[in-house]
Amino acid sequence: MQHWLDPAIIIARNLLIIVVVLNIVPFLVWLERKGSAFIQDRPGPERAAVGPFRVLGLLHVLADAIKMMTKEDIIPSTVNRFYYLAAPVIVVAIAFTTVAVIPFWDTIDFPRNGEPGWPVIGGQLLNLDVGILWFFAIASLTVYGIIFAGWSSNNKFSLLGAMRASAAVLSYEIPLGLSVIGALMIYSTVSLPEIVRWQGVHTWGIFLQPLGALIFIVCAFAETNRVPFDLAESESELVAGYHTEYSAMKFGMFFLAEYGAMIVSSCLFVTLFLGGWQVPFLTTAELIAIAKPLVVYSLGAAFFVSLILAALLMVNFTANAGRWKDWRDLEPAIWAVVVIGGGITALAAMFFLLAIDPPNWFAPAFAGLAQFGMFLAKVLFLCWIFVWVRWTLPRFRYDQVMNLGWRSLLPLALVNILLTGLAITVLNI
Amino acid sequence: MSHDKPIDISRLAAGGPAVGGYHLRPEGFEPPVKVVTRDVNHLGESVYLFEIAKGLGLTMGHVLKNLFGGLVGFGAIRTIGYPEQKREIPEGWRGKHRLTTREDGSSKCVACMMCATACPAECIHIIPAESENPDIERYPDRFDIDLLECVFCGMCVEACPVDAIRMDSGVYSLTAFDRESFLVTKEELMQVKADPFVAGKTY
Repeated sequence: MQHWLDPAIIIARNLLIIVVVLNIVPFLVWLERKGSAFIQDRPGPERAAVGPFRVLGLLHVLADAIKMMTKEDIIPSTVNRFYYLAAPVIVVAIAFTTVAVIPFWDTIDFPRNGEPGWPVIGGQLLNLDVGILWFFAIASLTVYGIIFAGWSSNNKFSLLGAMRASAAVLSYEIPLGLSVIGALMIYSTVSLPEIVRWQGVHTWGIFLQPLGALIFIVCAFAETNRVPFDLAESESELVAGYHTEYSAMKFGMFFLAEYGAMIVSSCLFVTLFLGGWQVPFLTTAELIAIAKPLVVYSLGAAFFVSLILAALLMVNFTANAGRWKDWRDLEPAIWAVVVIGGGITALAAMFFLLAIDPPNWFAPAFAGLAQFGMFLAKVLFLCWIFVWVRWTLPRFRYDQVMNLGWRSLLPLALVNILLTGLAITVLNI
Repeated sequence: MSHDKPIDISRLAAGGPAVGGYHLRPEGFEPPVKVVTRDVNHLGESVYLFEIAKGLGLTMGHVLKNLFGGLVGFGAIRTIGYPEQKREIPEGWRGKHRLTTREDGSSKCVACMMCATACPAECIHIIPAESENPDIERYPDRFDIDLLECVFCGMCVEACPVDAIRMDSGVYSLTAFDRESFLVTKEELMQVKADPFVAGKTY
């Protein structure tokens, strides 16, 4: 059904998804810093402040962004300018283009004037039937950006880093693609929204394809050039790998792309193996049906959680009293007040909701947002695994990476396909 | 045992019968050497997964401890937020030097040059002068310490016969924007105050 407001709605939906996904990046940078600090028994970032507010070090990311934007941007005289300048653009563009096919929520429609179905808001930017194939096709283009960066920099470290990155990405692309095939055989579709719906009806992919999921996530680590496979920028050997010669925001774009690749890999893993936007035990219809009581209970629970959190913050306030000897000592107390305020607002919203009959758009909107939130929660959990693994494992040696990819993961992926095929044939699913 | 001949280390370790005419070990003596073989084909390790899981468990333990401990103010984090919080320096800790003064405010130093002589870094530069007070005879016209050369060994304090120089100020952060600021003069050294806790002991 066409409506004159449809383009505006689509633009708003796309902006929402893009802005949210882009804003995961600074959050991940913070998660990386804070997570590594806690793993190593350090407090992590806690200095950058606006007034007394340090927000657990989140402001450091803001300071970093300002720094990246305003630093001197040096282009070495010996580089091949065209490819040198194109490389960061390619890397970032591709990292975030692949988000387009990820479904973030189930297609929701808002009943209006008793007439169902307007507006209908799909949960992804680009609803392609070949979703996952398109994803792999685009994602494997990243390696061009990396090779351009390394080759055009006219620097042996960059070149070595680029060579290693391309070798790793090409090698791991194969088991990555094969690991998915088992899952696709079970789902019998390559359309990502259909895959998620299938998992809602049956069960999550990870329970059916544990080996496939494992191979997928290992390959995702290699594809995103993360530890333990970060030999592309192994800073102890290659300075900074393929982006050695990049400074200021061009470096920042590689940085952005690394985290962007992490996010899209997590998104794809969640979509394929963790049920995508499926809220556990609740289908979309059920979510819409029980929207009001669910929101009421959640708001009530939020009130009690806020009380507990405020109490903890006050304990923190007393335990750290006099630590900084300035207004930063007050921060936990201020946050406690803010949290209590939020809790009381939630309580007020709960009573307000109990008193009124929510409008028609309330339940579908809630279902969409709940699924979006659930999807983001799963993605962030996956991203935390990326961070967690990075700060636990040492880097693999180059030959070990190749051995693992070609002699362990590739045969395992093939065995997985074989077993899945046998199971499907024998059990006649 | 004479060591006029070099001992063959390999035979020593192997518990050989005689080296250079001497029996280093009794016959049949097994050296207490533990031979460790690397079991590289151990399945549990070569699969990586279990070892990785163990490692992840270890790091997650730290995260949880510091996350929940940090929220309420106790955890494994022992970091000190430096400019605001300072480490407690131990008793007798040798910090920036100070020159003690008499009751009339003049330096106790008699310019005997003992400290400058004792100083291994030769960072104390004294120019003595004749005092008009017959009880004192000598006093330092200039008493400069180059803190960039000082090794904070405390020898000057040990050498001083009149307890004129001490290192009990507790000042450990010596920072400046230029080298000249580290060349401290007699007047500056007399301004430095003693740290009551550090001064509890000799230095």
